[in-house]
Amino acid sequence: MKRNIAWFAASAAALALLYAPGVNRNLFYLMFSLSCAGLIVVLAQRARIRLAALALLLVAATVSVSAPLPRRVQVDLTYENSLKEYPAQARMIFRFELTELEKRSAECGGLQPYAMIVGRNLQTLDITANGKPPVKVDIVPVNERLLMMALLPEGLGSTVTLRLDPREPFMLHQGPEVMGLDAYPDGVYLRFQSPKCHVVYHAKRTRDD
Amino acid sequence: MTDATIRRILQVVLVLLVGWNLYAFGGKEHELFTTKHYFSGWEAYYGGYANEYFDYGDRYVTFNREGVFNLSNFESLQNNAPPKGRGGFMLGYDGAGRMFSSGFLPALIQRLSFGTLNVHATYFVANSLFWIIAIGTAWLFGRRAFRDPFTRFLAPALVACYPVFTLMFNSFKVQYAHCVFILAGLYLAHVVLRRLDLFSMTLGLACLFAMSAFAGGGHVLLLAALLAWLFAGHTFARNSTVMSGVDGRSSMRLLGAALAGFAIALAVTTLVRYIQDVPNQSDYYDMRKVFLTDTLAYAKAWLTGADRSELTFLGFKGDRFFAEILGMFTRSIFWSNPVVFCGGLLAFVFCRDARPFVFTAVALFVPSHAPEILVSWVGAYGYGNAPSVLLLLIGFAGMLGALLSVPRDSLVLMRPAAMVAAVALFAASTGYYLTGRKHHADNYFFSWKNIDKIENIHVYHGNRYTTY
Repeated sequence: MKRNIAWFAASAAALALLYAPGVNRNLFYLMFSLSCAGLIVVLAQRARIRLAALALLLVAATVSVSAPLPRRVQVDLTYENSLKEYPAQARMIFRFELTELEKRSAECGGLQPYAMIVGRNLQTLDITANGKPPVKVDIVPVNERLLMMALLPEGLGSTVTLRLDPREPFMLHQGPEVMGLDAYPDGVYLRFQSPKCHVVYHAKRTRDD
Repeated sequence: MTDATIRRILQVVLVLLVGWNLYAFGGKEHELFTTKHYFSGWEAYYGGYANEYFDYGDRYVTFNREGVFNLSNFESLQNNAPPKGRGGFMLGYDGAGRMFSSGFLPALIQRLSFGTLNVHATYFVANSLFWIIAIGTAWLFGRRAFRDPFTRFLAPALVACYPVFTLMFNSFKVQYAHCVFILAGLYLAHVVLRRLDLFSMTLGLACLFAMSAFAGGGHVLLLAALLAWLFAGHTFARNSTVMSGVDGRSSMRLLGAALAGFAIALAVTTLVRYIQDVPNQSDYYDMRKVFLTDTLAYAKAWLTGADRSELTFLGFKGDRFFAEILGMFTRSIFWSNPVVFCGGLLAFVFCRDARPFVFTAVALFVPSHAPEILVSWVGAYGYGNAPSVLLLLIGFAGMLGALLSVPRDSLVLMRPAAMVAAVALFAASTGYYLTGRKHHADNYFFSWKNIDKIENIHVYHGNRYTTY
């Protein structure tokens, strides 16, 4: 018991010595370090293990990691609730390359092509895919915004040019969809679906027309 | 087949399962993927439930919006200067609640690496550490609490496959850490600390409580687990292997030390919170109201036969907790692994050594769902089952170990039948964990059945392809 008291007191004193001159003034950090030290003191039988553990904790408490967290990019900065407003006549074009679609169709059975758009006031959008209007459009509310599911015509080929023509101002959801060093912020994508599969394609917006 | 051969096979299986789980699931990000717009019902979360992403220079990486709270704690604990108090610690609904598991531990790892590990690698190491500790504790319990020589390999093998860990290797939120404190804390208290002097026992427990207080309320659950364990150990499980050599006097000392340690931990943590200006109460929930005031009012109305339709019991109005919520929690733990659930409960009947584990698992079941209860959330978190499941896994493993140990001179075919049953149950339970990842992700996050509706999801970003 005396040995444990001595070791624990020494641990507390060592951490206090970091606090006093201002080496580490983070009380939560010191409290957790002392808790770890206390547990090691109680569990470890050998002095060498106790010393090594205490040394590691002290070194860690002394080191101030200078490497900050990586730069954070906020997708919805300045937008209200991740929704970016566009004026009427702000036409948009997305070009989707349907990589491996035939292969997926063979695996998944008949795939129905949908254009999916997330935002608000979507009923004002006129949609065309390769110049053709959708077969059917459903707009459903989802989590304080709308989801447009536009069933596209068959036989679109291996590239789909999706054009959005708003008749009135509308809002497009901005999401943190990323891959590699590419960001795809606009809530617009294609989904080919069957009961077994979803095949999703992302593309960046090309220039506004 | 000799016992030595069986042990060798189990050793190999254990090593293979540990390696496989790390290899297969170590690189997967499940905390965000389950909220993506690929799944029906989540279309609004384009890119996932997030607002931002990291720029690592060679790639962008999105992270779950709720992880921001934990990253703020991590940042605060990377820093040697005192945090700015309320400004330095993110005070969302997580608040400081996971400051040890998702703040201090990753910060300690990153400090010891002198900043060479990036934030994702740091959290991977922290999560792996919790996983390894759980596996190690299961091995120790298997050795100490069961007479057979096999449970010490079966229990850690099952724990190694448990999706609460394997889904969360890359988690920032580290929601499940309290279950590791409970399991390891129980072992340390019962097997190690009990043999020490009173000061050392109290010190060890106070340290455990201080750490687990900032790992999702683990300190309360650990104390509850100890109480349940001691009760079981000195009543119907007094003849179990884990209780051999344990007398009532040492348990009373342990209980006293636990209560004293809990009080010390509370006092110290409250003082530190006060100095650093981190409040002890969240804006999102009121623990005293939910667990005490309202629940006692309901109980009183129930006893007197008064109308309780406008009262709340454990966060839910009227009788809703009993009519709906308890069933929802039970379905969640059942579907986490039906083999383990049923096998664990059967172990209570057929395996005396499993009884303390199964009883404690049952005692912890409702309290472990405190997060859902506190915010009246109609959905079961998988990590709410974790403290109970870990104990059930060990109890279940004990039963399998007993089956493998049926004596050779038993009735004809009894030994081969028992061994076949053990192998089949082990294979079924581990197989269930290793397959159906979307089901397990769905079970972890509310079991709303959104995620596992679609068998195959293929996503293309230009020529880059990902499959789920």
